[in-house]
Amino acid sequence: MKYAIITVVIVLLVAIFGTQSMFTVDEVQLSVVTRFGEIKQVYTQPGLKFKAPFVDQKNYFDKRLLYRDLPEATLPDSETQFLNIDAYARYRIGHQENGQVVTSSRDVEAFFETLTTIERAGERVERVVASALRDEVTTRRREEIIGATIKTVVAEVTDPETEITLEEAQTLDNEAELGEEVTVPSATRQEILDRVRETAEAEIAQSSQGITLVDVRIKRADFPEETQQAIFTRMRAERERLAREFRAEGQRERDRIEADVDRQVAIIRAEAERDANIIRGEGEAQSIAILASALQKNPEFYAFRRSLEAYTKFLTQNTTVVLSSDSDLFDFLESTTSDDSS
Amino acid sequence: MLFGIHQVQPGEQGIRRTFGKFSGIESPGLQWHWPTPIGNTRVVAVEQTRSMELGFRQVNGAVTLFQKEARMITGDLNVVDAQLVVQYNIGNLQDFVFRVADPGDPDRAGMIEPESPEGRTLKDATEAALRLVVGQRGVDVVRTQKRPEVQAETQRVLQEILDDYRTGIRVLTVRLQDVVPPGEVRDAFDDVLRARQEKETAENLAEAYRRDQIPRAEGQAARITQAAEAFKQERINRATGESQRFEAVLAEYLESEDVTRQRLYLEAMEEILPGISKIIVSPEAAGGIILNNTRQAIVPVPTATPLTTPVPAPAPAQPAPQATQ
Repeated sequence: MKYAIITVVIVLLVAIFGTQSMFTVDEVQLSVVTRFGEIKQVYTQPGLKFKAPFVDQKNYFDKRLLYRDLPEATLPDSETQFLNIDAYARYRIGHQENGQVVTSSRDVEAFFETLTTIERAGERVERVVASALRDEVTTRRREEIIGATIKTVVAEVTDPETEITLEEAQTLDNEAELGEEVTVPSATRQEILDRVRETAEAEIAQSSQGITLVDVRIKRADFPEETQQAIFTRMRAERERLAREFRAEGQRERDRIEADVDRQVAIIRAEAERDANIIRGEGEAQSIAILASALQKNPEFYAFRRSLEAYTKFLTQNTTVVLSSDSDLFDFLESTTSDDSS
Repeated sequence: MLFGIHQVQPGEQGIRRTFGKFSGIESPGLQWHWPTPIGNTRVVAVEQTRSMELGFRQVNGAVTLFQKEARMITGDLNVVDAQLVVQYNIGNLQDFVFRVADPGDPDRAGMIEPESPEGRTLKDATEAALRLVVGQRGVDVVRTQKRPEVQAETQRVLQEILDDYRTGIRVLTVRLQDVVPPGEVRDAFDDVLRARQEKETAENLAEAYRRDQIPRAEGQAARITQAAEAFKQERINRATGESQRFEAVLAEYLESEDVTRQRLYLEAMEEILPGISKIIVSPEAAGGIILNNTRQAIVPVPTATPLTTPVPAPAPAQPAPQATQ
């Protein structure tokens, strides 16, 4: 009986001793072992680890890419237009080496000694990044933060900052035309983020707190609530202007084409009339020529015949003719032989 | 999970740890790990296609706009509400489990792997990518023509961010469900589309007018010239006919001049004289005769020679008996 109790006690002691002297560090964890507040050992690799029982404390930290959501901030741009900017930052316990993030024992030590908790690290990151973001945003125009430029479509570009050729414009908007404006992508948003990241990272690294900034992104950049109505009014006005323009253009085009058509029709008709006159003239001329060449053969005979023809035409019912009895007509009236010498 | 024996289903992978240290990826089949607390395996359906909605929520089939996520600014400083769906699966399980810490997304809590980059990381990265892409383009372009391009570009940027963070997430598709102007300005936007349509219609009508009028005018023109040709031809024919007639008679005339002249003269008189009033006087009526207003001859009293028919003077003379009648 006594052996049973002793065995149980020994097993218990071993168990307690075991759990106090052995522990695991997971793949996603970093561990710092402290004794009486002083760092005894830092573990950056996972696996089974040992420590002195009871006197050593084990502390765990997240080895992974950490996240800090910056609170939404209403920031003015360079023209004191406001935007609600919602950004986030990603950072790690570690340092930058050849473009990679490496977590060394020294980083963990520095982190543990200066910041101690992830929460404090997050706050530090937030402060530095928010400040860098504000500084950068206030030197830029709204359009740059959003990420595009408005350019006018022209035939020949004299100022590449504000003008663009029709060909290029049509790759962005199929319906672009000369004189219209198109939205052209610019890399300014990314530039801003890169600069914020560089500035903030430099400051964080300088303070040697064992953390390093990996990325900053703008999740949202919106118009503040108070300006919503004003924005909508502007949008509506712009749309109305566009609608008016389209309708006016349509009407103008139509008028222009129809006028052109009418003009062409008039020309066609006038030319036809002109040609017709020429043709008729040719007809007259040729008919005169034909007749003339025939009549030239004996003009006197023609005159004789033509006069006779004329007499039949104008000596009509209402005419009275006085004839001489001497006339040839009456040659045989009083005798059967003609007695004149006509 | 008895003594560490467990099943990995097709489409799944297991990630195994021994004393917390990564000890292998398990493929589908019967697998084993050191029993807890020494080892464990976490099994994840890596090939399953997962969905994330942005800008809206689907509750029991009903779609409701989630404005905070949906509203964004376009490159020309217009505002739109965009709804997006991202489909993805897990390309690298090690990265997925070990590389990225994530506070989780309360909206999708039950549907995603806990403590994985599927949560806030994916959502934030998607929002950042979409807004970046939309911010580079004009509102009309984003709504209509270039949707496929916006989708493709968003996918590209999103995957870049996810790879940069080593999330192990593989984006399969990005689909823009709906990009609409906010309700307050919807009518104004729709009117622009209508106006564009009207412009096109006006231009089409004008072209139709052209296609109608020009051929018609050309037809008329042809008719006018043809009529002139006909006139010309007719004149020529008439002249030809007349000249031929003349030449025929001329030929006859040349054969027997006097006879022909006489014949023609008498034929003409035959035609003329019957229809008109005639007065035949002797050539010695030297004083001539006067016709009164009823066309009756008045012979002046002193005459040198008598008329062929006696006339009572000074009464107006009767017209002479018309011997030729």
